Amino acid sequence: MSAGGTRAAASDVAGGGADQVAAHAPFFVRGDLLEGTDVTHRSRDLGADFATPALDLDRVVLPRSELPPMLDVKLTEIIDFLVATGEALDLDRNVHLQRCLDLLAATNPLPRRVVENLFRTAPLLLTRDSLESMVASNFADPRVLDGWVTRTDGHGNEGHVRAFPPRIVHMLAGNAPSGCIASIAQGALVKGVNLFKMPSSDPFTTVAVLRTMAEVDPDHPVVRSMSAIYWAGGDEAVERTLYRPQFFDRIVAWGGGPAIMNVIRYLGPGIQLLSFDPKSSISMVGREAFADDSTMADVAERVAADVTVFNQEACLASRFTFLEADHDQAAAFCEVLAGRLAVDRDFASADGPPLPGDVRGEIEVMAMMGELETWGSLDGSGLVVLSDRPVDFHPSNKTANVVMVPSLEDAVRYVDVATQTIGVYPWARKAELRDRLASAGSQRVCRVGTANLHVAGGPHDAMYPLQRLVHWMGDDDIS
Amino acid sequence: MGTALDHLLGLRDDPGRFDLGPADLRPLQLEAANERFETRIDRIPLLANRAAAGSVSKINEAADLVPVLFAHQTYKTYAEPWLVEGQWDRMSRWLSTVSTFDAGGRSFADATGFDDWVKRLEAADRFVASSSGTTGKPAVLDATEADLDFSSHDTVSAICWSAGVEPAQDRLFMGLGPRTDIARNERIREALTEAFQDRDSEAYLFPVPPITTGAIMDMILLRRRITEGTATPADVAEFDRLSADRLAGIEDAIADAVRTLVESRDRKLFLSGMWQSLHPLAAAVRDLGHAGDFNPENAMFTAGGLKGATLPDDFREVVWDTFNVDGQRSAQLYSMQEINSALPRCASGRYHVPPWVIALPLDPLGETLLDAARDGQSEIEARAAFFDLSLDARWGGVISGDRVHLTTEACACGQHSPSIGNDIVRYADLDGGDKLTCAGTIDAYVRGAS
Repeated sequence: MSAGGTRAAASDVAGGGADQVAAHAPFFVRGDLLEGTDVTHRSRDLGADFATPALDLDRVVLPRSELPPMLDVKLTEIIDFLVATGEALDLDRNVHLQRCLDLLAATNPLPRRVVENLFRTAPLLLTRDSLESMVASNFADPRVLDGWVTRTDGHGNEGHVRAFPPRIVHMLAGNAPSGCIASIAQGALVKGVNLFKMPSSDPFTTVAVLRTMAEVDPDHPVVRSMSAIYWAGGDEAVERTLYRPQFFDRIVAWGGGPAIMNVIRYLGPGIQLLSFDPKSSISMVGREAFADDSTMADVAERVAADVTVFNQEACLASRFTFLEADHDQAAAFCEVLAGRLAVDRDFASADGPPLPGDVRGEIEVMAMMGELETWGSLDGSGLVVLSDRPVDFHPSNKTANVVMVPSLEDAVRYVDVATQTIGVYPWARKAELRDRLASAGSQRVCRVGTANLHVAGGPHDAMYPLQRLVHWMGDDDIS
Repeated sequence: MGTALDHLLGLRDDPGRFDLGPADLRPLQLEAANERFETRIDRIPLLANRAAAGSVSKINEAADLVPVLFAHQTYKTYAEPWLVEGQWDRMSRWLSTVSTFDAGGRSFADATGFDDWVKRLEAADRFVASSSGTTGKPAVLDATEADLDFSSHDTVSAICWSAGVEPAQDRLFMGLGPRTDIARNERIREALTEAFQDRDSEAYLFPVPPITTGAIMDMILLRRRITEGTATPADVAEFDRLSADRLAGIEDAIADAVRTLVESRDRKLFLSGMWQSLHPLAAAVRDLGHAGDFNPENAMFTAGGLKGATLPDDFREVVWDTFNVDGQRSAQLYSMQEINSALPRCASGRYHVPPWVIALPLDPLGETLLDAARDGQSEIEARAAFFDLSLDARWGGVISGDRVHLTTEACACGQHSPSIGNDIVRYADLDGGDKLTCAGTIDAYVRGAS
């Protein structure tokens, strides 16, 4: 059993004392809500206990002898259903999400207000325009999702193609409680048979969304294609059993490190990994930012907005700002930026957890040596570190490392395959830089200050995920 | 005997040193801590900074040490690119920020590499060790002659106490693992040989050339260049070839060690090595049909944890049974490279804190001293921190990355010193594989070179 693993727990729940009652985290299995407190788990981030039913693996795997429930449901009908679900996820009316807000306070490090804002905005992903854009950008001919589409090659042979529904395990990321909504949308749009493995920092929201769905229509094929369960990530007894091509075509996973290395062991012919790799993001600010004070203030505010997304827990949160400036300009910029990190935002809080001890130590020693200067505070309210090369540590907890560069072109050497989003100022310089940034391995440039906003239907992590999820089945007529 | 510090350090080889209760020792320890504090505050700039930030001017009680403890990662706070670029003056300046090293106007700018930098520091009586850094940035640790002398003799004393053996120069000493040419490690090996090797024969040393610190650095620097994207395929291939050569050398050495072990099975042995070196040797010796027919008075010493190696659950028993080592005569020490002293394990399986080390149980964040006696609990779970009064070149106060169970009550073995249970885990390992997040760094993309 892995760290933070399971233990028999009926007694913990019953007799654990007033402040130690584990929250109930039911499962949702193809339309059925499974309640039970057979097993107690401990959340990784905050160490809170939660109790789940025992895991019955036979119930969460649909045998390949059964056709996927959504196979013959038209895409338009699925989109209608997702839109209705999105409307039912209105936080003011949805008791399941309201309850999640309370439960998440114990397991998730994000402030309640930020989670609330996430719950209010994430359902926007389930609007018709958003869903149709995803389909349109992923599939040249979306009819492949609804049936067999015929094309004829240069020899007059006919090929019929269908984007057949896949069987997918989604290993959900733990850093944003609303992330499951995107995964549910992806799984539904490809008509997949979906199993969601919930994270220990949020073993609640996915089930809340699926319960909402079931209330819209308990017998809908989308509902019958969705299961959400929990096991401790890395638990060999579960993963070695489940991760087999006989049961699943795809594993969708977020992140890197031990979590992904665990999954990779189970890959082989017939079971593929769709990995949203661990990413960092940066900002690139040209000397045009110093045209006048108000421009500088505006750019600093935009950088702050990108740095603070989910209190910098997100991949698209900026960590390094490469700045074309002399020292005095840079110092002035850093001072304004530090002030803007320490404010409440929709997806960030003015205060946050303090920087880890090792990082504080490194900043202290480097500052003593005159290698860097700092503005703001190490207490989690926001820190700016100015240096002439990127710091060795990974800036987190609302920390911006401003690195002075002679030109933004020089900063390209710090861009690598782990660089996701690059916010640029001024906008026109995106076009000058973007080919070299793509060559270096990055995935997206945007106007600085908009890292957390997306054009509907855009690629994610340099791919169109839906077309990689489906099982492309061919039927060839060679005459 | 002069000061409190002299008195405590003078207990190094005292057979009764682990029977001193913490309450009796504390006043002496605080006096000695003040001696160290007063003589180090002007010589270690980081300490002065900490003391100013924490308004610490005197150590009146153990809690006063907490604001001036250094995180164990302090010895990794240089910038790794300095190593890649050979900025040895900057590295020296960093060393003099975190330790008592004083360049005294010397320049290191034209050092030709890490090994050369270390050699020049040795000429100035400073002995720098670097951790093997199997992943990521290596720690760089400064030491003086006094540190080397203390830690080498303390290691011998701790081993004798833990294994219940005498330094009687009546054994064949067998060093059974690859060596590094780090001064501190070599001095410990020399002290062990001096203590246990009989005078009629030569100690056996694993027949591979010691790995130089520079070679370890090359590995680390290659990893850095892979990370930066500046290493070419030819660089990576060349590195893999060197690693393969080294492995081939190790296989020959293993065969030689197995032969020597079998030939020496009637002699009284002292075996020294890491579990991941000893276990394959034991397996090979067993394959030759020699399990348990070794001298029953054999003793051994293993240092370090498994460091990521995976061995069968019964790896200890296999090694002990093969070489006929009574488990009690298998010395085990708990320590970390950031301090000088070892905590030897007793017959009851607990690691004992020597009188010149103040154990400081902290909360998991490493910010608050926990009261060992609170709530009538006999044992508390804590992040381990220590103030090692023996340290000379560096500041003695260090916060570890380990979660331990500490008691200040007498141990079942009968000794009265504070002790730590054998269920020591690194907080980093407790994080487990359960955390998935989209945020991460290029480090997750670097394969090999470790």
